[in-house]
Amino acid sequence: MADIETFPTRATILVTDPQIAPLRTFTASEVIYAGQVVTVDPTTGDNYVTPGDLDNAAPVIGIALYGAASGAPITVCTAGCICYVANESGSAAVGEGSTLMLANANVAGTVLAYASGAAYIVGIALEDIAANGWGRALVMPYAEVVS
Amino acid sequence: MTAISTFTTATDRILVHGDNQYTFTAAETLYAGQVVQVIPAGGDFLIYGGKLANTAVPIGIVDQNATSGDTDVTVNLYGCVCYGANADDTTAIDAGSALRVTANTSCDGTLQAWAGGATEYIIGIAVTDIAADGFGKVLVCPHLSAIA
Repeated sequence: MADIETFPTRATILVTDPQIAPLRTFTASEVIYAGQVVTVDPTTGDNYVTPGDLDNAAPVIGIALYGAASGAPITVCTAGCICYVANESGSAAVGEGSTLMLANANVAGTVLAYASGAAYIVGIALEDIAANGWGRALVMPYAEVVS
Repeated sequence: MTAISTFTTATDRILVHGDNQYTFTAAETLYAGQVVQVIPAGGDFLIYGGKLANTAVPIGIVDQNATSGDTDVTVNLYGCVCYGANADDTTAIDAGSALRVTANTSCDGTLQAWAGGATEYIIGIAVTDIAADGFGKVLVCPHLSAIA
């Protein structure tokens, strides 16, 4: 499996009706691209979010609705939204029905299929997510804890 | 415990509170109040009556009856409070219980209380008692249970 090297671009992220979608506004602590999985930044401060990376050791809060520069407001699609997420793999698809976890990839803010063990869960794939592509997912973040 | 064998017909509307709904396509006959899943290799945006054997986290509780192939089938998703059905016809489920997708192979889409232990597919939390062979209110918040 080959990880993608750059985060793909996509104009439309949210699938849920924006009138009912649980959207929340935070501040970007670094450049964030539309569709990136984000976590609260554990170092920058309150209400700052950063692209999801296992090194952050922080649970996922949602998917960035738009891109944002560092220090700019950013709208996040939180639990309950249906939106597009990006596959971390350039060679392997993720099947529909898969539980999705934050990837430990070259590119932050991507997803892969959860198999076992501790992980930061993003949600559920509602359709096939092509390699190096996008797919629709139900966002339901939580930390999967192994006791 | 005696597992029910037919899904109890809902007499009230399923959604109690919330507006986080989305439409999917029924992959099989579905009854209002059934827990539903999108399952591995089951097809994009196709929903099935929830059961343990599907090995998938549920997405929500279906709001209407449907037959296989119906499109625009409304599902109550994360954050909704709606009615769900007990998988057992002799034992109630207590309010406050975490609810898992049923292992009752004769009646898909029903609920059982999660007792801890093995990994299970959780649909939400009972916010009222759920009578034996009856319906009760459920806060939809699906996830995998913590791994023991």
